[in-house]
Amino acid sequence: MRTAADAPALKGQWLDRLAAIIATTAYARPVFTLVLLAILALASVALATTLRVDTDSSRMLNPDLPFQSRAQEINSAFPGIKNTILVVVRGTHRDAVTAATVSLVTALAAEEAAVARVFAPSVDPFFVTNGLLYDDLAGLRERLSRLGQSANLLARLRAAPDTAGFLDALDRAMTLAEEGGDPADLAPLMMGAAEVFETATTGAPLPFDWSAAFDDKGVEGLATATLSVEPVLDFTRVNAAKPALQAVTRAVEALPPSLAALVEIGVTGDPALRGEELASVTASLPISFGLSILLVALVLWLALGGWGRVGLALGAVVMTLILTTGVAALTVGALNLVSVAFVVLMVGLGIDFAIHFLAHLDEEAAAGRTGAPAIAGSMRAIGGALVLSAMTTALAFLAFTTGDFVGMAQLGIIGAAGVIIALVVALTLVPAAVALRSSLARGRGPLSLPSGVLPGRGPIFAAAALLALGAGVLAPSARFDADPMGLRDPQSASVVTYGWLAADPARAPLRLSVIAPDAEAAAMTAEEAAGIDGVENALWIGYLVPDGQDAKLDEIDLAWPSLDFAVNGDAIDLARGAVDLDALPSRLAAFPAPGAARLAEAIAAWRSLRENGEPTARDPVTDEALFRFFPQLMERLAMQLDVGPVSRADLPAALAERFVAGDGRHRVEIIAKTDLTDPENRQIFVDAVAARLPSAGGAPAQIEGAARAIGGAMLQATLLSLLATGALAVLVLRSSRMVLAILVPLALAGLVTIAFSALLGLPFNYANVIVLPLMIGIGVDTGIHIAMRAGKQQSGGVFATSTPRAALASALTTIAAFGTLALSDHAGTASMGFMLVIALTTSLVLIFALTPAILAPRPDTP
Amino acid sequence: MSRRLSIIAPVPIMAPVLITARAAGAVLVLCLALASPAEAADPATAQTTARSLTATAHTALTGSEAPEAERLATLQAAIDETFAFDIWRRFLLGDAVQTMSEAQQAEIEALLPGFLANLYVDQFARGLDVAPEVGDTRDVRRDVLVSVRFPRAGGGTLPTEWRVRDFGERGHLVIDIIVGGISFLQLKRDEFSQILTDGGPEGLIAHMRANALTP
Repeated sequence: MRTAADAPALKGQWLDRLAAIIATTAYARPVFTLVLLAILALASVALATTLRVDTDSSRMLNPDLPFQSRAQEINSAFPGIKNTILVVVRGTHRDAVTAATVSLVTALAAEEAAVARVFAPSVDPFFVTNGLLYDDLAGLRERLSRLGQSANLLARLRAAPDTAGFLDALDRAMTLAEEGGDPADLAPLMMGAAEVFETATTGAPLPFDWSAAFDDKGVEGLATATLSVEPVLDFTRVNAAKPALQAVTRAVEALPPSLAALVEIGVTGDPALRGEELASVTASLPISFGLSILLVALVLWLALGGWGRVGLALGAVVMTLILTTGVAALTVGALNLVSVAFVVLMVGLGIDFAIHFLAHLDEEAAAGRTGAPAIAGSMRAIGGALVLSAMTTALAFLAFTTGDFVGMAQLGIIGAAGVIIALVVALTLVPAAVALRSSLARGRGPLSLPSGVLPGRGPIFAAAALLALGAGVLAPSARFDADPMGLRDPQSASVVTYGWLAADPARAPLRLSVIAPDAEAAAMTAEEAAGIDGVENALWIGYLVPDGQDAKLDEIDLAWPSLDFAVNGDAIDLARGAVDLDALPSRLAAFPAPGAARLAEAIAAWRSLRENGEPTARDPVTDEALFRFFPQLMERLAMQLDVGPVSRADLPAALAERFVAGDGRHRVEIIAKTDLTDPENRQIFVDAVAARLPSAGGAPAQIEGAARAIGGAMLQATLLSLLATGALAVLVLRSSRMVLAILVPLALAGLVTIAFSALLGLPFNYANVIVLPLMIGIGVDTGIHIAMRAGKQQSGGVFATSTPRAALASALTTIAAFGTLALSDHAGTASMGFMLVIALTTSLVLIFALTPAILAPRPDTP
Repeated sequence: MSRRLSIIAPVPIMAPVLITARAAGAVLVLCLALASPAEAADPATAQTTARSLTATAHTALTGSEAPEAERLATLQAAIDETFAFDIWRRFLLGDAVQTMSEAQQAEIEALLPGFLANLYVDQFARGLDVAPEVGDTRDVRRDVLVSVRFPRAGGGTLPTEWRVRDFGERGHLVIDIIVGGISFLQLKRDEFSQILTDGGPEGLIAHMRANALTP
């Protein structure tokens, strides 16, 4: 059998010679080579300490893009919006929600070192006092009328805040209702009381919900309160808002257990989301890392044989990583969420060259050549392929520096440098190590891959054509999801809490903003925005001031004595005398209001236990359950006595500063009718607003703009990289067939990977988009190795050589190293692992199948 | 979208600002048109107003020397002098006034004093042996609440508060009566609103005719 060493020279032989010069020099001066590498590594480590990581995905795009500059303008004028921690308190028990919110506000306001400001509209004195003015006139009238009718009842309850007083007040209210009122008005009161007495008999009485009983009839569902916590940022930490997040945790933990049991509390907002994102990325890392090491070692051991050779290959990767990190520190300074994945790239590509080199040394050893002749022989056989693949891959990566996707451009620079570094490391470290320890050159011996399983050219081409057709149909449906929420662990607390807010248009965090120069312009913009299809409302500072105040204040003025009576008056006897407890259950049973019969049963059961001396039915326990939140109700009512005309100057600063910047510019906030976490809704909304208000910016516009910019940039970069790779290959190899053999499988693998993304509903995102350049890099490498080896191999075909084994080992190493990321809780990381397995497997299979088939002589060729 | 704020429930984070700017416009115009110039009421004068009304009314309702028609006319005159009918009319009819013809409005306006006089009789004339007792006053924003206790035949008293406002040249006039925190004005407005919903302006006029004092 002839080997590559005996094969006729191909075009591009100068690359072989170049590789041979480097490798033989390193072999001749091993100690010098290793010392030089060590010095470079130390310098890189020193440089690497200056390297930072910026997790802000919004900075991964060209800041000059229109949607980027608009977002930047908004963020600089209103910095509080982005960095706010949102604490959401919700529950069916409205009083408990209020009480918990008050407790949290009080606790957080005391955390001055960590919290700059805390604002909770639902308990903010301004809104509690003037909340009535924010009702519409009809609603206000109805509410005040109901309050007037409840005033005497409230005054009576205030005078006797115990179980007997409660039942007495209830009894009198029933009498009044029977004498001309509407018995159904008492339904919420009776339902609430029934719950208290029912639970009192079980030993865990539920506190009476006064707000639910005295608010709108039939109030159902969750009550939600939101706290905006502006952190004191500590930039010495990875998460500058960490002290504030810790303060929030402390405040939540300090809530009385009986109160905490009645509410759900979630924490979200940018700082919380980022903090948990980091935690979810690192949470499963030890398991993933351990599994990766195990699998990589196994693959390398199988491919290379001998732990020394495995260690040498890994050493080449580590050296490549260190040197590339140094270059990254020099060139980009701060990594982003995409470019930080250069580690994945360098492991995938860095090990490639070392494996091919070591595999071929093994082949040389099997042919009886060792030492310098083996190094030279290897370089003659695969040196050109190694250099050419490094050059083409570097060129492919440089193509990614041309678009608006800064994140990927950084990766392109680092990747291009890293590939050349990996080549140089492989060409120096491996021969130097072999020079010092010759056994490293010998492995398992020739171990060709079985090629018999592959069908002939015709079926392969037919299958490839069908695959291309199917993938071509599916691929256009693939999309890039630029929503950072898509990267995060959907089960993490901050993401779940974000979902609570997103489900309610009144609280949905995704909103567009327009900056207006002054109030007049803001008003006009808001009016125009409100008329756009799909817009729920447009807020500006003017909308924060209640409208129609004269009319509303007249109504409030009319009802003020009623409110005052409820808070300060002495109850009068509008009905008959004190309650007859013995008769109350039967009276309730006959009372025509929902909940009355239930309350009758509950009171009868409670009285029975009480008479038997059961501790759970003792008066103090029931008193506490009934009146625990009553003072809170009265306090809020008392604050409303001070209601008066309000102007912009009266608005809480925490709210006003979200709409008026320090320099006087105004922000108009545009709210969608639909849930903007849905990509289709988001696109429709952003397009509709942009058509009328092109200056609208903010998160939804950034997500949409980024998706389009990145989609375009990636397509452009991919085509450019394939063209550049092809052009270089043509220049060096001067064989269009060989270039086709390299690029066609790769292009098809890319198409299939994109089709898989669409088919599996697994969109590309900031994390997994690395897969495409990685696939191109490894695919080009593998294609060149297989193609050039196939071109040089005269007998037995390429599968008789060590090259396919090396290519397989290289791809499997990358899959083993990063495929385990699919197990991560972090959705972005998991998608990267998953897509990486799909892409590399696809490209390997297609290169193995198509490249030799394209290069094989036609059947009719003599 | 309009989201009402709860009086006593949590205020939604942004709901307060989702305001009905458009709907409020018409109401604002109406209120400005009807707004009356008013000074802060003087407690002593307010007390005098309440005392004068209740004394005259008591005499009219309990006296037996004069014929009933004459006594009721006296009561009606006292009501006419001391009640601010424009305020009552404005709150009792609210926006519904826009759906009424001028003739209907005029008839309601004419019926209102008799209706209020009848209300007075209905609420305070039963079992009166002793004259109502006018007590302390307290300020309610720009008005004064005058405490008036009505002794009941069966013992005890009915504590009420009369809301008196200073209308400048028109003097101090009663704009509301409050019993146990319940405003008569609000109570009657709810009643009128229901009648207007059920029977329209003509239904309301019929109701007022049936319940107006006719000396």
